[in-house]
This record gives sequence, C-alpha cells and structure tokens, in this order.
Amino acid sequence: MIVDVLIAAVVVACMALVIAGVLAYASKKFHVEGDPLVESVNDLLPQTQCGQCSFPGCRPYATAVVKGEAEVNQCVPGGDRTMKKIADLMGVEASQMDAEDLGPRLAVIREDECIGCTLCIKACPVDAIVGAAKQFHTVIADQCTGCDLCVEPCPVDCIDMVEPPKQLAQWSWRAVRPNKTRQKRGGKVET
Amino acid sequence: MNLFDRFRAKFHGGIQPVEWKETANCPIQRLALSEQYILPMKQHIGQECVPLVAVGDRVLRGQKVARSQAYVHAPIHAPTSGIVRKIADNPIPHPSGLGMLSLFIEADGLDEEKKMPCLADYRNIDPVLIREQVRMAGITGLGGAGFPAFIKHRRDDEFPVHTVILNGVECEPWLTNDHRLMLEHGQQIVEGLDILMHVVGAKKGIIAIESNKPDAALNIQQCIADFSQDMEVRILPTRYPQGGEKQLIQVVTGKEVPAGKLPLHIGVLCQNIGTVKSIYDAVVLGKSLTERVVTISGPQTPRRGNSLVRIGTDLSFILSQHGLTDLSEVKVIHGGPMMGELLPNLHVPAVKSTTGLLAWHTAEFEKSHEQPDPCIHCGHCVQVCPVKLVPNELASHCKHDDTERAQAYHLFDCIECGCCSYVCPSHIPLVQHFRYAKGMVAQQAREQKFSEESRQRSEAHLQRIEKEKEARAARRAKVLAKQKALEEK
Ligand code: SF4
Ligand code: SF4
Ligand code: SF4
Repeated sequence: MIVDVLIAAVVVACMALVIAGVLAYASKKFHVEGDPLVESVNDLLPQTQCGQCSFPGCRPYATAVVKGEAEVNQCVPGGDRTMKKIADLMGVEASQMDAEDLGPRLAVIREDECIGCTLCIKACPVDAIVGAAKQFHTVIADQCTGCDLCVEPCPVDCIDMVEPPKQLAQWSWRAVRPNKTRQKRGGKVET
Repeated sequence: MNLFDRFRAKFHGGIQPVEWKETANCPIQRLALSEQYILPMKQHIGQECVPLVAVGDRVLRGQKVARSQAYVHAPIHAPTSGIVRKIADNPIPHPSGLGMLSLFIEADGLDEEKKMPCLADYRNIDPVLIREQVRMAGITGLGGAGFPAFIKHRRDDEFPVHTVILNGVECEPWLTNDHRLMLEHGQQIVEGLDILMHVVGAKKGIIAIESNKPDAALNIQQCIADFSQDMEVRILPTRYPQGGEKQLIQVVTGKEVPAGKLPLHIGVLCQNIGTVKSIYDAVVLGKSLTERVVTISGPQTPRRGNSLVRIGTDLSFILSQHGLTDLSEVKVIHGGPMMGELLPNLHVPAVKSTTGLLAWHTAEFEKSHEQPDPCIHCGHCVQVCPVKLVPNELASHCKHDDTERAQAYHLFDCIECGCCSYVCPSHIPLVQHFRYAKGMVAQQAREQKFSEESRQRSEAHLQRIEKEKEARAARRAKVLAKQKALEEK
C-alpha cells in the first residue's frame, strides 16, 4: 500500500521535473523581447516618430499607453482611426482627439542656403537626411515621415515643411459627399 | 442560334441601357496628322517605361522610343516621324488630372516609317517568335483595360488553351469602333484570330458578337466561310456588361472563371477585336501599335464618327477635327459612358486605351445628375449585379469607411460596371462608393507599409546611436585608464 503511494509520488515527481525542464528550455528559447502588448500597440502607430504625443517616439508612447500613463488619444498623425484601434486593443472607451492632424508633410532643405552643419541629420529619427559635414544636405522624400524634428535644430532656418507633391500612383477617388455629389444615370459622378 | 444556346447563354444580372450607337454607320476615317504628339511613359498595366531617346533625336514612325526592364510592360513607339522636343511631366487622360513623364515629338510631316520583319507565313513560324513580335509591337488590350497582350499568349502545358474567344461584344452605349472594325476589316480580324489560335495552340476560335450588330456578324461569317473550319460566329443577346471578360466567357463556354483565377485556367484566351486587328498588323505587316480607332460622339459633338487616331494626339485636336472647337461648356468622358471617366482637362494625349470620347454640354450633363435619396431597399441593384454582390449593403459599409466589412462583402470582386447605379431609383452613386473604398484600402496598405519601414528605420537609428554611445564610453574609459597608469608611474 505504502509502496504504491511512493511509486505514484516518485512518478509524479519525475514528470514534474521533466516538464519543468521543458518549460525552462522553452521560456529561454522562445523568449520575446519586450512586452507583446507594447508591440501590438506600437504596430498600430504610424511611426512618424514626431513626439507630438509628448513622448520621444512611437514605442515610448506605446509603452506609456500599456502602463496606463498616457491616454489613447495622444497620437496626432494617427488620428481618429488609430485612436479607435488602440482603444479597441486596450479595451478602453474611445475618446475625442485633442489636436487636428495637418495631413502628410514632407521636409525640404533649401540646398543653396544649407551650411552643412549636420544638425538636422542628428535630429532625424528615421535617418532620412543625407549629407556630409560642410556639404549641403538633402531629404530622401520617400523616407521622410514629416515629423518636423529637423526644422528646429537648423541654425539657418533652411528647412521647410511642405505638402508632398501629388502623385498618380497615390491618387484615389474621393468619398461621396451628399449634396455636393451629383450623379448621372450610368454611374458618372462629378464632385 | 438554336433553342439550347438561348438557354445556355446567360450571365447573372445585367441591364439593357439605351444604345445611342448612331456612329455605327460612320466609316472609319483617318485623322489628319497633328503637329505634336505626346507619349506618356505608361499606357498599360505594369511597370512605367523609360525613354530610349534624348531631346533633339529624330525618330521614325514605329520606332521604339521607350521601354522598361520589367516583364509586365508594353514598349511605346513613335506615332510619326519627327524630332523629340521635350521630355517632361504632362497630364494624362485620367480623372485626377495628374500626369507623368512624357515624350514630346514634333512631327516633320514626312511620316517616315520603320517596320519590323513581316511574319506573313505565320502558320509555319515558331509561336514563340510571333509572341515576341506582339510584345515588341507594344500591343495592349485595346478594349480599355490596357493589359499587355503578349502575356496572355503563353503556351502552358499545365493549362493548355483550347478556345480563343474574340470579344466583339462592345456592350457600352455610344461606342462603335469595334463594330466598324468588324465591318471594314473582317478579313484581318479573322486572320488575327488564326494567328492567336496558332500561337496558343487552340483548336477552336469563336467570335462573339451581340445581336445589335447583325451586319458585322454577317460580314465576319462570310470571311470565316472561305477561311477556316475551326471558327464560328456566336451571336449573343444584347446585354450590358456582356463585354466583361469573365461574363463573356461564361456566356460563350457555359463555364465560370473562378474568383481569383484567370481565363487560362479554364483553357480560354479572350481578346478584344481592336487588339486582334493590331496583332494582325504587327505580325503580318510588321507594324507596331501607333494608332487605334476611337469613337468620337456624344450629344455635343457636331460631326460624330470613328477616327483612326495616332497614339499621342491631343484630345482637343481630335475633337476639333470633329467640329467641336469651343471646349468651355463641355464635359468629355474618356471611354464609354458606363465605365469611362470624366476628364478634368482636354489638353491631354490619346493613349492606347482611348476607346471613345463622348462630349456633353455641361448644363445637360449636370441636369442628368440627380441628388441621391436614401436607399429604399428595393433590391434592384442586387438583381442586376453581374458578380452577384449586394451593392446596397456594400455601399453602406463603404460610406461608413468600414473597409474590413466591405472586403468581407467582396468589394474587390466588383467590376465597376455601373449597373447598380444605373438602376437605382434613389440615384445613389453606388459605384462611386466602391471606387472610393477600393482606393482607401490601397491607401491604408501603402500607409501600413510605410509605417513598417519607418519603424525599422527608427529602430536602426536608435541602435546606431546606442552603439555610438557605447563606443564613446569605451574610448573614454581607455583614455582614463591610460591617464591613471601615467599618474601611477
Ligand atoms: S504622436 Fe504618434 S507618430 Fe508621433 S511619436 Fe507619438 S505615437 Fe509616434
Ligand atoms: S437599387 Fe438603390 S434603393 Fe434599391 S436597394 Fe439598391 S441602393 Fe437601395
Ligand atoms: S458596379 Fe460592382 S456592385 Fe455594381 S453592379 Fe457592377 S459589379 Fe455589381
């Protein structure tokens, strides 16, 4: 009788050991860097890295949101759509956005005025500015997030934020607005 | 057509719009040469071309002036002989009014031509060579879609093509250019079909024509009679949008092309009449695609008709040749009235996909537009949708920017035929909602991609700064250590 109990205890103890080993190995092997929830929130953010949320970038903001140190409505470039998605993910009420987003922006350096000080290169969070010391710098338009961070450090104020040029590949039909939209039989719409 | 055919020939939904095909009696006329031609670098689905010539070069008609390295593209050829004057951005016929890189050719009036070798004896020539000739000729689908034609002409052992269908349906109201081609160039079209059958190894050729073009059907029938046993003319009841590739294939073969699959997968090759005529010109006559037939019509056009137009001709020049010179009070649609697009600017060149130019008086055009009322759930739109969507439901999701649900309602299966808008008693611009939502999905995808790339760039940036900091700290530690060592000595 006692022997039976002992055997059972030993078997269970062995199993526990083996499983503990496997679990320990798995937790090492499949270790995820950082908090997965932070990653999910970060994935929703536009990655403009502009700091308008009052945090030094998108991931810090995502971290703060997950810790409950920031509201879900602080990312200005993300706008309403991003805010709703974050609220959904965090299971909180969606709220109003504080500030209005200006739409996409692009930094342009007036190259003849640039003194080649490299201060803007240091400020760019996505390394979208090229140039070497004492030579004029330029912005890689395809990589600029329009974060505005390079404008302030420039000692000669030669960086402008402009509306990105309209491109055919990026064009899409406008929304149908009631009253303004008139429609002909046959689907022709004029806005 | 026998009784059996009548029951078989059917696709879901569809409408019968008023035809307005009065230009069907106007023979194709060659348009006068213009002084300048503008060639946008992308007139096809696929990669944009890059110019092969420089400003100041003299080019000949049919000379290749632009191409791309990508597989999916169609090279572009000079429409007449002359000098390249400029290479710059220029608007294209597009509802946005935006443009792209274009070649400006000043005509010298000599119209000297450069031809490819003629492969008149095509039945004895390797299909691969013929396909290459079609590719070199820059031929795209001339029905409006603009897909490079040669891509469809592949012999595939896994999916052998048994039937080639020529699309002579031309179901859009007003347009009659394919109709005229079938009347005036029946022989070339039939030979073009023979070329295609040889290229893909098909045993059967069918020319599908709607019942509202009996003269064209008769002419083609006669051309076939003394040419081949393997071809037939199939007369279909008139119904819009029968000219849609998938709709036509269903009507002709009785088989449905599954969603997300190509006609090739059910052994069919479908090509438009105008395209086949250019394929004939390219293979037998060695001519590249430098001109096409365009229907110029609409209530505001004084002399309506069909013109043989060089690619790159200014639209306002074409309209003026048809008596429409005052463009201040007109609205022009590029393409057919159902699927075509309203042009914001008429100083744009004709491109390979210009099927028609239809002019309305602005006031008339606006009068025929009506304010939308709320949906009354009558279900008319559901009945006519050829791809069996539920347009009213779909539109309400699109209206509320709910792209996820719109996609679950098969937004991307919509072929934008406009049937639903046409029948809606509340005048709801349903298609416009769908176009908008499709654009929004594409934009969201672009934003997603950009933010992912930005994230990677920002992470790389932070890592680099971290490394620099460490390196600096290490250097400082080293210096300090040295100093200490010195002091100790
Ligand atoms: S406001 Fe938005 S885009 Fe800008 S840094 Fe904060 S989270 Fe990123
Ligand atoms: S046809 Fe118009 S009114 Fe009728 S169900 Fe469709 S959208 Fe609604
Ligand atoms: S436009 Fe789209 S939804 Fe409307 S009938 Fe045509 S395919 Fe169906």
